Amino acid sequence: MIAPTATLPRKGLGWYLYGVAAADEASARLGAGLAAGAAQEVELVTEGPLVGVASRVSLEEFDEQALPDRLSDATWLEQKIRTHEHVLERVLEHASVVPCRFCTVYRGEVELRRFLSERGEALEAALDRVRGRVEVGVKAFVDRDRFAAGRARQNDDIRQLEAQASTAEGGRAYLERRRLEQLVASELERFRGEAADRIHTRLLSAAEDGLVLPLQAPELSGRAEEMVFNGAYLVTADRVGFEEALGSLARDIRDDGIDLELTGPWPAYNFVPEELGAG
Amino acid sequence: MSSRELDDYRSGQPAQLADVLERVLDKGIVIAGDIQINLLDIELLTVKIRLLIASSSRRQRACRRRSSRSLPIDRAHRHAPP
Repeated sequence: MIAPTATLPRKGLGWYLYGVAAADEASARLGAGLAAGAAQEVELVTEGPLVGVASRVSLEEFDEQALPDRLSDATWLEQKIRTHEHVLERVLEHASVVPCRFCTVYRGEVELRRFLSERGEALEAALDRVRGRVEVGVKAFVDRDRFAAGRARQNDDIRQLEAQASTAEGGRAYLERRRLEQLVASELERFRGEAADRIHTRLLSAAEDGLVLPLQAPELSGRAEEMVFNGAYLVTADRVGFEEALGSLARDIRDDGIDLELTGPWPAYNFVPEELGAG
Repeated sequence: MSSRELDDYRSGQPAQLADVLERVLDKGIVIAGDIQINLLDIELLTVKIRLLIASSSRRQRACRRRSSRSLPIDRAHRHAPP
């Protein structure tokens, strides 16, 4: 199970820690062969009741000085980030896991084991919180045409102006169209905040916990429609109650021009303590 | 609920890069102590990474408009309208 290390000097290897799981859950169910990527093996480092899910990596590759250059290599970065997520998703299929942040690299096994034993209590508390639960992401996008044809017409001024614009001719028609567009845009501006509050409130009531994430720019979201909400929720692993709430919400807001997109299940990245110091 | 709305959830396809980034880079436990990399530096670098990914996505789209050639990062944008 140990990755071949013949080409690298022993002292040049560190441990990349993906996450921490409970030893009884993880060791029994995960067994051998968590393939991280073509070149990497994933190992379970057991320390008392906890197990670190980790890979041996070249310390040179993850050197603090060299990292800025590595990070500007989009191919390297995407591969490492995908590997991190892929390993944790595989673990999540079998066991609850406390995910670590990208590039958590220990210089040696001694340091990794010391972390697991010294911070055992905090890690077990974090594990208890996510046990039997998963994180799901919900993103909401507004379709401007559907908003203008539906929700925007609840505004009296917009309805009135639409009627005027439809009968107007020539230059006046143009000006009224412009005014109408502006009015719809400002109505959308107002509605965005209202929609985000409504979505979060409804979903939170069907989840154990939840939080609002920053909106993604269109370059990142991969969709042409404007994102109006981005949230993460901690839900029971079967997700039944949450999916029902989400389905009913999606039907209620569809006519307002809003589409929901669900992602996950994710390891509970957003529901573990951020700081877990060395004590 | 329409099938489109739950597509992502059930398709089992790789997640969009943006969703992975906002979790793997920004969230998860941060460990102080015997580690190789100072995570404070990583946090500063996150901004740079975001810019990088955003600009590579833009390049990607420009590329796709010009030709049908597919590049690796495309799969992060499989929901992008044609």
